[in-house]
Amino acid sequence: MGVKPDPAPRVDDCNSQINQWRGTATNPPRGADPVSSAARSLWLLAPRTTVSALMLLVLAALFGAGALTVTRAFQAENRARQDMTEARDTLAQVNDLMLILYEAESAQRGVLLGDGAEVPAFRAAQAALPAAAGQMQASLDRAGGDLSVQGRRLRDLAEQRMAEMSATLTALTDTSPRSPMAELRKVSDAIRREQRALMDAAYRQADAERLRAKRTLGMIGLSVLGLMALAALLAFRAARSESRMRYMREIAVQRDRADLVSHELSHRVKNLFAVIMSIVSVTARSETDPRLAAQKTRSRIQALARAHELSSGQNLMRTALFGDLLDAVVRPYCPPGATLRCSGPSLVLPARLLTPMGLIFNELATNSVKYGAWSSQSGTLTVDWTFASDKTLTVVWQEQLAETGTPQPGREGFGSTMIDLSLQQAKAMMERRWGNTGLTATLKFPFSSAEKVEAEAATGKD
Amino acid sequence: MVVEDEALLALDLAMTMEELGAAVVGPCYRLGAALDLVSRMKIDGAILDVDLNGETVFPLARYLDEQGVPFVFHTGRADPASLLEAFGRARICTKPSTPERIAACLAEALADADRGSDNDNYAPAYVQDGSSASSQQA
Repeated sequence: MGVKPDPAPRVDDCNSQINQWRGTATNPPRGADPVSSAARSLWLLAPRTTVSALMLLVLAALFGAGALTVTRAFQAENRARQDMTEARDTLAQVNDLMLILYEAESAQRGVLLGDGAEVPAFRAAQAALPAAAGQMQASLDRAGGDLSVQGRRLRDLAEQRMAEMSATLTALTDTSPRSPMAELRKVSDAIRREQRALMDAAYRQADAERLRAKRTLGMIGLSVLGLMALAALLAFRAARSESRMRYMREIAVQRDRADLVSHELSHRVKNLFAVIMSIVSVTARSETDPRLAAQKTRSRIQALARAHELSSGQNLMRTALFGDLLDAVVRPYCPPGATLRCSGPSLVLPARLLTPMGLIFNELATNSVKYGAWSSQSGTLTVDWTFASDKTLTVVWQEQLAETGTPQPGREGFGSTMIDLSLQQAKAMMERRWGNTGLTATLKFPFSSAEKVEAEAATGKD
Repeated sequence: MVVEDEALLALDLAMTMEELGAAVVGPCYRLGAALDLVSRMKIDGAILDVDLNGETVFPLARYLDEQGVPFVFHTGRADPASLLEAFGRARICTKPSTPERIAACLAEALADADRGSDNDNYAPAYVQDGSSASSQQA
């Protein structure tokens, strides 16, 4: 109870410090809700699967229809060919029969004209007739209907004619009338016509079938083309909606980033106001002269403003370079004729260091103007810094008085309290030595590993 | 107890509280140090900055809540409502607030704690005088 550690408890045992930016950046983005986006993509996918199934069904139906049409066309073709073959055979048989009859007739004439050698030819024709007539009639019977009747008639007439010729030859008289021959020719012509008509009909039917098949195939082709166009359209639309979604996601990410940055900025501004208020009240508390108090307050607020001005670029995550900070905070105090030399590697500072560093170097510069190298017009201030592999920024602040004399440590005012406080805030250490030529201060600022990575990445780019 | 990562602000708060008669524990700049301190000593009230260099002060706030120690959040956060959701009894001073205003808030919180937990009315009435916090250990 009532214990008052002075000035503050050791903070070395604190949890490892997390870079403020990294900490806030790991929060999940507010706009992108993974559940709703998954549902959205599912919703987009569902109609596409239905359409695909429908398209498959239609394709299958079209294929069935195509196959049926082609089969039917082939069957018709085959039938027509068979009909044609049959008709050709029948005609050949009719011709054979007629040939036998002509043969018999010419042989019979020969016999009648006194050529007895022709008798065997006639007998051969007579013997061949029944078989040929039988074959022909069988063929015409297969064709059926009228042809069958005609065939029987042809056969009867042929046999009748053969019998007549045989009788005349036997009586050696030729009294047979010419009419049965003419009748024969008429019948065979009728059969030929009939067969030709049948053939024509078969051809016509085959042509019609082929035309129908062509039409169906054309329709199938058109449908396939249409389906392909539809599929292409769907794919195009899917790609477009996909790219639109990507675009929306990108916008959401950017908006979240902007939100984050604006929140951070607002937070920082409020914090800075609070710090400014405390600068005013703390300075006023330690300074009795109101004019001096106002002056000190102004200079401290100005240092703070300068340090933070550097970080107000577009990217809040990247803050200021250490060299720029020194330039902004320290150089304004450099009196005309005096010298400021700064050298060190390009190094990006983490945001948390801006306020304490601004205040520390402001106090150091103020002291230099009051009591140190810059108290005369030809003094020199040299600031060198190095960034070691152990993630420590080491700054050597060396003052070179114009004329060597007794250096004045200056009074331990509130300025040094402010330095101590800021050092604590930055977890930094400072060692001060007063030599012949003035103050030499060595400051060590430890960086966290995340800050170091960031610093190195950014430094490498510069 | 003062927990605040801005050193100057912490100093200002601590000095103001001391001027008002409180014995100040801290200021603590980091959560770890603050948690260590409260585990070793008893405190009567606390002023807590919410964001401590990337960490939140919530583990400490929960601990104090469990112990029945009243506290005031001093924060630049834009959403005090979410703080009230998590810590119903807490009082909130948005940054920037004068140390006197913060002290008044803490005094109210201490008064509420004294009245007992049956009083659920925490209207943030502005208390003009921070002297009610005197003789308390803040």
